[in-house]
Amino acid sequence: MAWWSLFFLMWGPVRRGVMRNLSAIKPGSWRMANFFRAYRVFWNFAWTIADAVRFKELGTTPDWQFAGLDHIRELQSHPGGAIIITAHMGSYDLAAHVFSATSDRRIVMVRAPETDPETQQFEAEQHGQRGRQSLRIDFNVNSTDLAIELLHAIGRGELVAIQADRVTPGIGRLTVDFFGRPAPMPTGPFALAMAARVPIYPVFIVRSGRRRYILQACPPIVVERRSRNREEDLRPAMEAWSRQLEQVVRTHWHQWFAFEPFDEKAAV
Amino acid sequence: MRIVRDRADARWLPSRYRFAIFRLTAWLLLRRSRSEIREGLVLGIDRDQNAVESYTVGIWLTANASLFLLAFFQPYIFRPVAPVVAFLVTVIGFQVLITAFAFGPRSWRQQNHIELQSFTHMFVVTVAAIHFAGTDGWIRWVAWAFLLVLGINTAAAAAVRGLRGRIDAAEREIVAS
Repeated sequence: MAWWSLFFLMWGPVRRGVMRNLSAIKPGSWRMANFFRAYRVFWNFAWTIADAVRFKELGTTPDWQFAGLDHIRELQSHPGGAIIITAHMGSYDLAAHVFSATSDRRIVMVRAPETDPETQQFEAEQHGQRGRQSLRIDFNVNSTDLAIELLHAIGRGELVAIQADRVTPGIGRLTVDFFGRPAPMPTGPFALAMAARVPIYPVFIVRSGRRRYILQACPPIVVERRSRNREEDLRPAMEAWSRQLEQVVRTHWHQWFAFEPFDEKAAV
Repeated sequence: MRIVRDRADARWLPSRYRFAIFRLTAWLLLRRSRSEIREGLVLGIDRDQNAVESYTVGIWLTANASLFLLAFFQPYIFRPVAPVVAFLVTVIGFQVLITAFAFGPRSWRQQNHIELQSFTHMFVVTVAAIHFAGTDGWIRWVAWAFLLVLGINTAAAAAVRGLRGRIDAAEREIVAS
């Protein structure tokens, strides 16, 4: 706890990023209150890291409650592949492993690459060691090659899991309204759903206590090609995702690990 | 990855507990509980899964270590400050033990030392308890209470060992269901 508190106090830019996001999530909130709320975000993040490390070292998993079971059943039984989109909440890696262990379908998990090359190499090695037959982890380093590979995976009936709440440099984006502010969101998962003609299932991972998580599945989002304007066709689905994310983050703000300001103005 | 699906009564699996007192209690509760189906529930089998057990043992060990240090410091430090110093030294001392493994020889850093660390912590406090049990004053009661709990846990460990076959069979049945 002492180490983590020190880390929280010294990691100024990230702490301020979280506080800025909190001021949008909770309009009119006090700066001092958001300082302590940011500490709670860091606290939850520390626990999810500890749970992930424990899984890596000992192969043990915390307890999970799957919520929105109708949507999970629909996702499991959907003919052909499907896309799962999620946010930086709870333990994404751990959830993918548990989900693949309880599912008959193979899951391809897409992760944004780390900006630091050494960290990226470490991450790739770790995932290589942990790789299971039913779970594959891909890093979004070459988006064109990856898109083709993911299309093939969906064609084979696999589930593709992507985090869709943060944009990294070089990937397609569209600005949508998020907590009353213009926020860039990645277009990749939605373009993939449009090309593969499969639904998108939003799934959120929420830490509900010590070594306890909830995996919340939401109603599917359908992306339809209606015109020649691709962007306009993607927009309704992305706005539906943004509303869904907003609803979950409003309730579980202490679980949203977005360490940079999400709004476009701050990001610029 | 060892998991149990859709069975809420699996929360009482003794394998989800570390200390014998808790394992034995869990076994008794498992025997009394009925099969409870809860769809969508996935329970992990991990010896450190239970929050009540982890926090109880953590607080108990820290409190005992702090009291032993308090008894040690009391003759030398201004009385009102002594409890604070004892508690801080305990927390820092435990932290030093943990950190020592993290910054040990290079080959150590690649391994986890959960078992060794747990043993070291318990060993240090037990040695202190044995020392203070033979002294005069209030601290000997604390030391004896600590050793009594340790004795009960040892007896529970013997009982769990005796029941091993039955516990394994019950666990296998639930995990396979």
